[in-house]
Amino acid sequence: MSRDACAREGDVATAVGSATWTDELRAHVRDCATCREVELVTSAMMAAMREEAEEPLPDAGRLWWRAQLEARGAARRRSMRPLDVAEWVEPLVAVAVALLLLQLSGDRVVGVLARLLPGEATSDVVQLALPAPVLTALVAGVLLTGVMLFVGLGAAFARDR
Amino acid sequence: MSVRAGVAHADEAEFRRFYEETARPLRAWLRRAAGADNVDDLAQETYLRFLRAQVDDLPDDERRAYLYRIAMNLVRDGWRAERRRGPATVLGDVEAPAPPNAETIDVQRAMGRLRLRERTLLWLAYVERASHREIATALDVKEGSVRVMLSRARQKLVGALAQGRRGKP
Repeated sequence: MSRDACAREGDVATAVGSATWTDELRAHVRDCATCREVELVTSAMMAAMREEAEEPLPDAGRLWWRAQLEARGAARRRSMRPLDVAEWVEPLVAVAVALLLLQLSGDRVVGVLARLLPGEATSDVVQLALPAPVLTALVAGVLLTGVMLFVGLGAAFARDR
Repeated sequence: MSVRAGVAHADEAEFRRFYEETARPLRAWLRRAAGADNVDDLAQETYLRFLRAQVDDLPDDERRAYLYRIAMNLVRDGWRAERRRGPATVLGDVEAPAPPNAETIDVQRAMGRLRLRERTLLWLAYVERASHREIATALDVKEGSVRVMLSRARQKLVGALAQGRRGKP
């Protein structure tokens, strides 16, 4: 159950806070249970408030500047976010381009590889064993492993910092 | 609300004024009503979060309510952290620590029997003289339910104060 509200509650709380009472308000409080509660509760809490008022306040300027510094830091991090994304996307794009090039001119790459290896027999073996699609898959595997290592090491270093 | 109209936190001087008006009652609430030990840290973090939130666009009477809302969340976070650390340090809604001044011992003990939300409600209504709308914002409740909540919390505190006095030798 809650007691009925009284229109004078605010007046009573103000009177307690300012310690200024009118006779009429005093008389009202004597007859009003709600306002007697308000007086008791407000007096109790104002006493606690007055005790705090004696203590000096920390400087507002320090808070302000700390908030400014934090805001600048946050803005800097926000502005760097596209670069962070680019750092992740860049190697993947490079891999995709390399694979595309291999797919388009894989036979030529196999030919160059065969010429670089010593001996005619070895060159023939390379050309037989490494048709363009196989080479593409191999290079893709190597490049993706490289990307994984790159990203993993980057994350590990970032955590250490 | 006594918060100055047009407080713009993009301006240091205006923030200083807002701080001067609100810091003392907020610190008193943290210490006496919320029963916090680390008042300086909590007050500082409350204002930092307040500044971070950039609530300049809120109506003036809601800024202080927002400040209390942040502080309440911080107090609750602190209690949760205390509970995680161990049972010996549990305070929470159960009991506030003893105040340094004997005059306020009864009050603080009685307040300790109320939930944080009830203590805040009474503090905002009778110390800060906040409107029901502002109280609703601070407590994240409907404005229409503030009157009933206030009445119940007040009766609970009156009962706790009376109980404390009866228990005195």
